[in-house]
Amino acid sequence: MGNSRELFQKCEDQFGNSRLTEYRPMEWVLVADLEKLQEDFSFLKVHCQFNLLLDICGVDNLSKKEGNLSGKRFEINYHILNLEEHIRIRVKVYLDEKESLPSITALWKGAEWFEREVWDMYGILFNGRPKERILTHHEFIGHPLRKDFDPKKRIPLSSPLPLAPHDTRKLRGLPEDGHWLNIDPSHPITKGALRVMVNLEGEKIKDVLLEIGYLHRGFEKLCEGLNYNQIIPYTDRLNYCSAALNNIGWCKAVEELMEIEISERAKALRMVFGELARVIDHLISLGTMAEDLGAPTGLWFFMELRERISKLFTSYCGGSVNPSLTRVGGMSHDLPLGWVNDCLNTVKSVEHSMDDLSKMFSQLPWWMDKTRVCPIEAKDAIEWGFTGPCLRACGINYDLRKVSPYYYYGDVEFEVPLGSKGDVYDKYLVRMEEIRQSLKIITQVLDYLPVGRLNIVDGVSLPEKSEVYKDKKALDKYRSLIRDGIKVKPGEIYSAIEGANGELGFYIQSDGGNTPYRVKVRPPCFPLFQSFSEIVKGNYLSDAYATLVSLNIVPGELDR
Amino acid sequence: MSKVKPTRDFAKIEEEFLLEKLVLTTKASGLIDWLKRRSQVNSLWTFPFGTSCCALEFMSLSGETQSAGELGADLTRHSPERSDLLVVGGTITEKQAPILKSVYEKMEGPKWVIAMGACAASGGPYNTYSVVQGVSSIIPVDVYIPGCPPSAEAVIAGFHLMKERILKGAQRGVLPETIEKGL
Ligand code: SF4
Repeated sequence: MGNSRELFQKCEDQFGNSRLTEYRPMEWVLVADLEKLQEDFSFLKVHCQFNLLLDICGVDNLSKKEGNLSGKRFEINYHILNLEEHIRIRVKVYLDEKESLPSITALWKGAEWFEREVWDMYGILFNGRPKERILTHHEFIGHPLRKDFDPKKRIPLSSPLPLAPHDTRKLRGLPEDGHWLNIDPSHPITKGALRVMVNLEGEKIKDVLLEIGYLHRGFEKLCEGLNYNQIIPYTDRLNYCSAALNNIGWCKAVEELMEIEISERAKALRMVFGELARVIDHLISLGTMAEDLGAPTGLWFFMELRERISKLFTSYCGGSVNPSLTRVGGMSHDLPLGWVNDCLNTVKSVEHSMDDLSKMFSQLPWWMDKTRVCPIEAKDAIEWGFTGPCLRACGINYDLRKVSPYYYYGDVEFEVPLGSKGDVYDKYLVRMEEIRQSLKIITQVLDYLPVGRLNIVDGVSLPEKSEVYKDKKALDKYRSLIRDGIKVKPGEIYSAIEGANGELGFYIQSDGGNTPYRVKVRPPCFPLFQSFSEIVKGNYLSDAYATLVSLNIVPGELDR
Repeated sequence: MSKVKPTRDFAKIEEEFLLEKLVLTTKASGLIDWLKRRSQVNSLWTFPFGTSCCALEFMSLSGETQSAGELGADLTRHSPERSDLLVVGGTITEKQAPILKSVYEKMEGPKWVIAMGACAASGGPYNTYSVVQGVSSIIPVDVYIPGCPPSAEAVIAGFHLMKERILKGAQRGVLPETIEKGL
């Protein structure tokens, strides 16, 4: 803590106290000048160890209710993390339509895709960066997240992007010759929505071009027209492998923005469901890894475990893939009778099966042969913006549940498994161990599950149905909450939880209405996949397959 | 009680129609077609075009409890040339649309399409700038399976419906005249 004060002092001396504020503990905001932006960034990175770029997020101020303070149309928010002190800083810069920003790819490699996204969504140019679309297709016209863009305007695409297009090659300085191999989204390895173009020399990979956006569904634009509670089902569909974690992340962000405290029971339940979702996510990722690396039956072992846990979700809320189980201010409903018992039994049986699976794979020579490939160095991982299991596989001990515990993560006992080389095998091991740790957390929480009412927040939670039938006041409250939704005071927040793939953050700007003004998801997959081309360069094609599955890219979250 | 006398003599009728009962007259092509349909129904090779959450549901269908094997459609082939049933599960965006179309075009006839889930049927919850509002605007669809995601039972029911249609020779992608001519 002492160090963070010192650091704040240091930054304050540099930037002046009018520009730098601490708006929440360990979260700072810096309002930067466009001219001095580059300078500020290098100071932050070089002298203050803000070394992990989390996210770049644009905002269009065109239709802000309370008027636009800066007088400029756009604002860009950079979220950067100091890994040692666990401090997040938001660098805010305002600019007009005609102005352009300096590119910061020299400082953080991972900035490239984020900058491309800002251009794609807002039409803001970065110096030295060509106009390259990333999420929308190459024939798209307009910038969808601008407030004056009609959300229902669709522009059909006539033909897919050609294989390794000439101008992209020129842009990246790639050779004209060579054998290009196309791995289309319909290829099973890409899980439906990624395109990988590889330049091969014999069996070795010379270059890789990536194309994403095949599952860009316009989540962020949709959110601008929906109530806070209506958004929850859409968050399910971001990372559908661990939908519950998205629900929790979203509701936690909204609650923090509203500064409300949820009941103890709700917190505990969120932990339980969050960990169950993490287990499912890891199981799916390990299962597909086994399948794609040549052990197709492995998939069924993992999927069978998943099925057991899915049943818990189904018995709680009726669906397992997209459960939508939280509400702002709590959970959708209380546990059904006997659920805790079922859960404990399932946890025990899964734990048991995990030991078997671990015996089956971890010591297997051919499995090791196949997975001891494509190591990643810790410093590169930070540079790219890795978080979650992939970062921990490189040996960096960073888990949000440990370093800035939310809910009761500070009170439960669990360990953070770490790898050393960051190769595919390490990622596999870290995930295997994380499953065990998650199960451990679940049993601890269920042992001390707080009792009492679940949804207690006044003016946010719906009144109990039994009251609604009897009491006129409760009925009115119920009606108005359903009809108008929750009102959130003006403000902004970046709130993150430890998702299954890494830091899952939600940035929300509210202008006081019942719909958010701007929502941005910080998808953990985005930086992971961006690094793919560099990790696999110089390796064999089969190793690239192994790396791709080990990164666990979920297109729904990647493209939003 | 008076005995009710049958108004028609059934034995006689049977004798009359015996010929029709024992002898099947058909065109040779018709017989071949019937055999073809039967064999198609019993070994459907599926191309799962799964993009998102529905794909996950489709994957778990082939898991432990529900088996796609029962449907005779457990052979998934990720090459369009070798498959005859395309299952579109998941959101299809404008960027994805030409790829889906090319997969469909590469499939050799006779071919059938199942649109699984709300997104494939109508864009589902995503009425936005980037999502195709139903795959039927790109390719002909035979069977729609509703749900977001559809339950395993719904998917199984959808497959049964598909098989019925195949047996009857109904096919969306091909115009009725061409079916006739092809026989
Ligand atoms: S229909 Fe629902 S579950 Fe299926 S892909 Fe669309 S959003 Fe996902």
